[in-house]
Amino acid sequence: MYQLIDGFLDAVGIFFIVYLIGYSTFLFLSVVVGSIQLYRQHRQRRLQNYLPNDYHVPISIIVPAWNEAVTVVATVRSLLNLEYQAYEVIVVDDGSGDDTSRTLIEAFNMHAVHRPIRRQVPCQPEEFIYETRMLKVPLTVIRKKNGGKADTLNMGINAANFPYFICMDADSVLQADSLKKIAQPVLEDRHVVAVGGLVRIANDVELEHGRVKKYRLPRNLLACMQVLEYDRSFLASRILFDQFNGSLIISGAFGLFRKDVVIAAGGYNVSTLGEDMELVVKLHEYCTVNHMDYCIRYATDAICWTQAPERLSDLKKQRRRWHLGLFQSMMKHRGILFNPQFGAVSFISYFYFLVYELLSPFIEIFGVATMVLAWFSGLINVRFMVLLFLIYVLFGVVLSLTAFFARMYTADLRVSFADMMKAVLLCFFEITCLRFILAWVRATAFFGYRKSKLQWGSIKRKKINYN
Amino acid sequence: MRIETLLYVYLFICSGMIVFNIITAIVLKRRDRRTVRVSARFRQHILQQIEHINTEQQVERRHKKYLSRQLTRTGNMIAFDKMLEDLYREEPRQVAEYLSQLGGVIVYLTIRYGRKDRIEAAYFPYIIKKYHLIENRPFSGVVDAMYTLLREPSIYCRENAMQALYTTGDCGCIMKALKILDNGERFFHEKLLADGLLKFSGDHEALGHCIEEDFAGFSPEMQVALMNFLRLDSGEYCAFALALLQNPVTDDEVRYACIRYLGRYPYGPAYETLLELAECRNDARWEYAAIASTALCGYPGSETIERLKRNLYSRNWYIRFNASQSLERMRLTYLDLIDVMEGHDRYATEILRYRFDIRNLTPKEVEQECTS
Repeated sequence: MYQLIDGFLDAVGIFFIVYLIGYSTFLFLSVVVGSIQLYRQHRQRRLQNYLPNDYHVPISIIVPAWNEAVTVVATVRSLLNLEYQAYEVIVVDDGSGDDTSRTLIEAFNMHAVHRPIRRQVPCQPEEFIYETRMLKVPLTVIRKKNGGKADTLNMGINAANFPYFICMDADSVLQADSLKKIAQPVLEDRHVVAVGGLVRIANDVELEHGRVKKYRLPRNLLACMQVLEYDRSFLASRILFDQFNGSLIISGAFGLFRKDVVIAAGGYNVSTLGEDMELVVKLHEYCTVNHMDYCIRYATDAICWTQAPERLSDLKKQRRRWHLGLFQSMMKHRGILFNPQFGAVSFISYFYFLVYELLSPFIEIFGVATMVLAWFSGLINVRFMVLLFLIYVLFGVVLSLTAFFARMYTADLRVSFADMMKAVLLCFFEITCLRFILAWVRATAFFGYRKSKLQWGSIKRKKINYN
Repeated sequence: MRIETLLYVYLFICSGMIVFNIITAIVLKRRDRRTVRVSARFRQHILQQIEHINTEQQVERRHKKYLSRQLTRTGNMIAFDKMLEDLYREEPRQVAEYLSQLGGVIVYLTIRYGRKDRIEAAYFPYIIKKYHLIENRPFSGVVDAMYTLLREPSIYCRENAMQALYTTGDCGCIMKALKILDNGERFFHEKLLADGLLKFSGDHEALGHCIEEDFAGFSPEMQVALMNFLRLDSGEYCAFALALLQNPVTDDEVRYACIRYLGRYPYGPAYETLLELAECRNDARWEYAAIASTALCGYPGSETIERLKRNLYSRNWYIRFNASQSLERMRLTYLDLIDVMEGHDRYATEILRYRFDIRNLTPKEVEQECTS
């Protein structure tokens, strides 16, 4: 028996060595590549390497809303102040239980119209449509039967008048120049079918006319740790994957898509929770199978400010949803894995998401369980284990801080000394505690999965500081 | 290799990156201060030269040498740009006179920046454009360097070079640049060209005629961009657009652009052709009927109304949509369209009803005209 356990632990040890080498190499590479790219972009901006601001690709902004009466008017007001000419705003209310539609209709003095909707992608029927043409750009509110977020976005696509659309969350604020920035890749490359924007956490950030007036880290420690986590993950996976057209996620909070390609691919899948990831994976699959030259880009300077959950229960709910969405998307498109037709998307992106995102919570929990087993068997080298854990923590902290500082300086955001210290301290806490809590949440996400299949994720709403 | 050794290596490199970030932050701060200092120095020099111009009529040779030496450094060029921007606002005439005497310096710097990496190479054409350094003076050395940049893979090199060339006011330069772009394999969005050409500082009529003459020599993609530019620029090319439209050899996309042109600038002789195109006989070529339905808005008359009404019953969404839009823009009333409104085709009725709703929503002062 003892020998059996010993053999098992040896095998587990080898597995974890390979696993960790893979993970640390990936993280290291991505932070290095990400930092280099950010500094390169900073230099480009300084030396006027960007397209002039007066070229406008027409864009429809789709705002899916469900029980957003508290924030939706402020969101639409911020959208009306964007520094862009050719766009329209379409708010789709997914049968809210509160006064989401009514609030908008009254705030913007809108009128009922009999607008025919061309159904090119599946969605629930509309109940009423209101429009106004008295604002800077046309504003439309569509109230439809409840069908989930993907269904709501599909309705927006059906109603959109322009060849490109942006999907965003009703509780987010786009930076004033974000449309210009997110449209740039479209002007640069004819093969671009989707562009991801950069999502930043808005808690305690002061915005004025769509620009940052005062930046500071959130007072709430949980939100603050998410800032560090967002910086690391955006710098890590997104920029690196962008180098070989391997992005598998464009955040639902801010992304631009070519409408005809999305429609041809079937629109958002109404039966998945992670509709944002599912669409991007589907676009890869659709374009590759149909031998289309295509490109999915990531615009690091197109910024959307969003609220991070400030309560652990909300964060857990959000991450649970994300993990289920990840699972559904990956299972639905499992044919991509190790399929040479998909090249790097298959062998790098899909493989990374499978092993280091989808399966990682199980692997981490398995690792902890093995340690317990080794402890009881008296086969653990405690000194070595503590050393390894410390190295792991230090490595994580250094990567997080590199990502954090790289983002601060390249985005010309000034942070106070106190905030810097706060970031350094919270990095340790994020790596040693929050990460394990979230791993547990993700590992247990499948309990009750059927029950909550098509529910909207809802967290406690707070108004963003927007003037 | 033991796992912890590898982690130590990563840790070491990442610590290096943190140090790099901190140093970068310090350098960025210092660089800002240096830019201010260098700007002030340049300002002093240039004010002296402006005084010199007032008495001696020309910039000193020594100063030109000084500039040639200093401005090869990109950091100094940024400081020079910042300073010149302020000075230009304060004394535009004097600064323009001063800059007009720097021909040799500009040619020299163009060559130097052309040898730098692509990011820096794209910067100098921006300076040329911003201060109109070659406006009406297309120095051959500078213009040739811009042509070279048009062949670069960097979109910013190409766009900034085009922006600089627009300021020459020389049709020949622009035509040559368009040929280079067209012959290159690189993608250059038609919007960048069509909207960019509007910034041409020379005679637009002459440029239009040059385009007209050489039109056949361009690829269809370039022809679309040029036709779009002509549409945004002037209504003087109706006969040209009609001839292209009627030529069966013309590419479909170019013909669509011609229909849009003739929609914006109503031209009597084009009416019959547009009317014919608006009739959708072949589902595979529905685009013609859809675009012509929009264009017909500028050609009011009973035949137009009949054609557009018939198009309201089309199976194609875009044809119906555009026909209804044109009918609405022609300011027809409910009574004029009662046969459709009270008819049995639900799709036709719905789309028209929506148009009437929109008419009521649109403030009078922003109502769109047919030719917009």
